[in-house]
Amino acid sequence: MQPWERVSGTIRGLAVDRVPRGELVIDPAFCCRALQREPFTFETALQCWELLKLDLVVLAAPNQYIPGADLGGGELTGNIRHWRRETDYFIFALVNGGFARALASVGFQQFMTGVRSEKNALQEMIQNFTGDAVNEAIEAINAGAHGIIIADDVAYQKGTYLSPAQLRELYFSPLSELLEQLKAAVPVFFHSDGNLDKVLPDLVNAGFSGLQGLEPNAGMDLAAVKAAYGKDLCLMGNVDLSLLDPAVSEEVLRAAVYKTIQAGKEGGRYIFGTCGGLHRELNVAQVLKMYRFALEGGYN
Amino acid sequence: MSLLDKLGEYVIEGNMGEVQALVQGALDEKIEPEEILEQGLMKGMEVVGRRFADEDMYIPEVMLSARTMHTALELLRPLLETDQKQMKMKGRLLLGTVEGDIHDIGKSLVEMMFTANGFEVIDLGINVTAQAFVEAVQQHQPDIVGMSALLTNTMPAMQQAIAAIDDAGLRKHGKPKIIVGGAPVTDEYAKEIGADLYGENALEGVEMVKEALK
Repeated sequence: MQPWERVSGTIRGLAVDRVPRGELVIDPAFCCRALQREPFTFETALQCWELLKLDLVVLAAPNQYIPGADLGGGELTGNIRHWRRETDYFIFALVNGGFARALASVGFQQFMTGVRSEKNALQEMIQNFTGDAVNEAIEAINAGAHGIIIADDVAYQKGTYLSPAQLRELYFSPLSELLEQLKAAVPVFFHSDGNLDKVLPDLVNAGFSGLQGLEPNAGMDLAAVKAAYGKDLCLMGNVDLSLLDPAVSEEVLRAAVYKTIQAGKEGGRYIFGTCGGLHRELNVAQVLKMYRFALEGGYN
Repeated sequence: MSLLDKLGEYVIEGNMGEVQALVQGALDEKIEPEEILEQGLMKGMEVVGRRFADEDMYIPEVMLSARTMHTALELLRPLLETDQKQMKMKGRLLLGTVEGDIHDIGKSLVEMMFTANGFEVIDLGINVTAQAFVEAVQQHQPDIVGMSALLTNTMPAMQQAIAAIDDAGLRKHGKPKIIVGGAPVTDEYAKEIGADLYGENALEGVEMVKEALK
């Protein structure tokens, strides 16, 4: 089974040979450390992907959202074409959503007070930015992306910044109309850090096919989310980065990975990986162990 | 409803446009600035804190309340200071996201909650080096130093900043207290790196600092 088929089948709820694996972001510096070679090139990325036995790649425009997601360093559509031509990986294009763009545009404090004091203007701004994000996503799909991840950090450890009702009105409702044109072409995932429990129904109603993140540190319980929304959403991530501290014993890491992958395997529609990606300073040996344990437990 | 109760209500509602007029009204009634702060504005902010903890209010509402409080304080702070009552402010917090970390949302929440609770906050921004913390402690003589990190790999920068403050001999007799927070940080880790306090969230941080400074 080709990697892209494994991911595509998993998203659609079909039987696959094993749980697919992928990260929201892998810092090129991590790849270089893992392979003990520099500089970072496309070949380095491929070897790193093979080392971790990954099934997907997430590509983003340079300087968008997460440093390192722009693997290859070129503009997004060129990057997508290159990975599509040279590899069998499932390609997600990551685009910042309207919430993140509006927040970055006006700043946190003005955004948050604007929810109450300038709601109409803020709503229009989010909608316009969402339109820009959708246009970028369409370009990515035309270049060959198999899927889209819309990244919008709408939540933090305790819950959503805005009330679920405010988010619904300002963000999810307009988004669902704009998502229609993307969904017709490819699966669309949502990414946010933090605790999303109270807006999971809104994600489903907006039409997302999947959710990346599921930060355990923010109280996101993979088994519980799967039980409630596993038929509606393909879930991706959930491994806590604190497990990759070298002080965490092999037994503890193995038990945690097995628990995650068992919860994910139940009923399918799960892609293994960390909640937040592989950053440059992470312990390589610990990451390799994590992926080894995931392979041991990941076959169906 | 008394004037002070009404001030508390204004804070809860986030009535930023009218709060200064009401504060002025209270001053015209010869109510002491300290009483306006403690019995009016702070009481309202305490309700906001409880409702936020109960998820009855969210960040936009809390932010408006905090800005209302801040607007009222603009009028009150000079009066408190000229009355030599600046000690009634809760304390001075020096705040920054540590080196290598560019996240500022958590820090903004902390700044907002501490300001709203009567602290003077000096925000050093993001990606703050250990040396910058040291220099700022020397310059501002804070009661509390707050350090934030959102990433696992930037947590060690907290330890480096704390060590630098200690190496410079700037933490003496329990002052300044150092509080750390951020998504990957735990109470255990805070103790391990020599922090005095750990706040799981902004609100808890305020309460812990208040208690520690008593």
